Amino acid sequence: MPESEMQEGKVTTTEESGASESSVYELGYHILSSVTEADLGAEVTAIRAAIEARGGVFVADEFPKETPLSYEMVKVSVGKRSRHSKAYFGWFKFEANPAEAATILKNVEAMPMVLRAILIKTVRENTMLGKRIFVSDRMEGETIKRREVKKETSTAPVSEEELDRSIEKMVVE
Amino acid sequence: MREVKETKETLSKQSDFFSSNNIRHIDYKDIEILRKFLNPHARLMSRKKTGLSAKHQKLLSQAVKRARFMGLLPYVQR
Repeated sequence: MPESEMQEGKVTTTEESGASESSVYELGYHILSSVTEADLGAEVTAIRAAIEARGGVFVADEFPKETPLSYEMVKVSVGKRSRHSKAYFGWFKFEANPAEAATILKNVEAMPMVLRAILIKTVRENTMLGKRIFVSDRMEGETIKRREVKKETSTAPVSEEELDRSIEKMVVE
Repeated sequence: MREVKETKETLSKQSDFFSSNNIRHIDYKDIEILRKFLNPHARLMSRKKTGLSAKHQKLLSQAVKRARFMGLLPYVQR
């Protein structure tokens, strides 16, 4: 775990050394599952305020949803370790100065109700594709078969008298 | 020689999932897509198996690492 944390730390430091122009970042966060749904809005507002305080301009966001975690995460608060197997996951996409990006992450991580956070450099466009991608049911190597077209069966030959009668009927109508 | 090179290029282009779906950025939150490239032990498949370009394989591995860090994907699965 600390290895991965270090990796993300490296990412942010390289971002810091970039140009002074603002760039687009994405802050993903987990809020502790012990927070009630009624108080969730307040926690999100606190994170939003932390970004705004450092001059962040919001591009997009997603309200946290409860998600099961793939492994147990440990949060140390007031000298106590607590294990969590689920959390509320949400994210903010914002534009900020690279010098302020690392501070934003630090401030968010320091929040008592934030289990984990990640800050990545991204683009303004939507990067989530999810269900938009066409996924075929066809197995690999399977060939697509042509649909069989049923040929219309030829009806029995019609006599000339019957044909005349039907034409007369149509004309009368 | 030139023909061989061309056929190799076309093969790799055909099998690259991200190129064929016109995906430029691989999002760590897109776990459904990331899962396609993990084996039953949750390890990332090799480039030989994924058929991705070097660039996309690198972007994919970065996205998987981020998803693991955030607990969206497991580090190991038994």
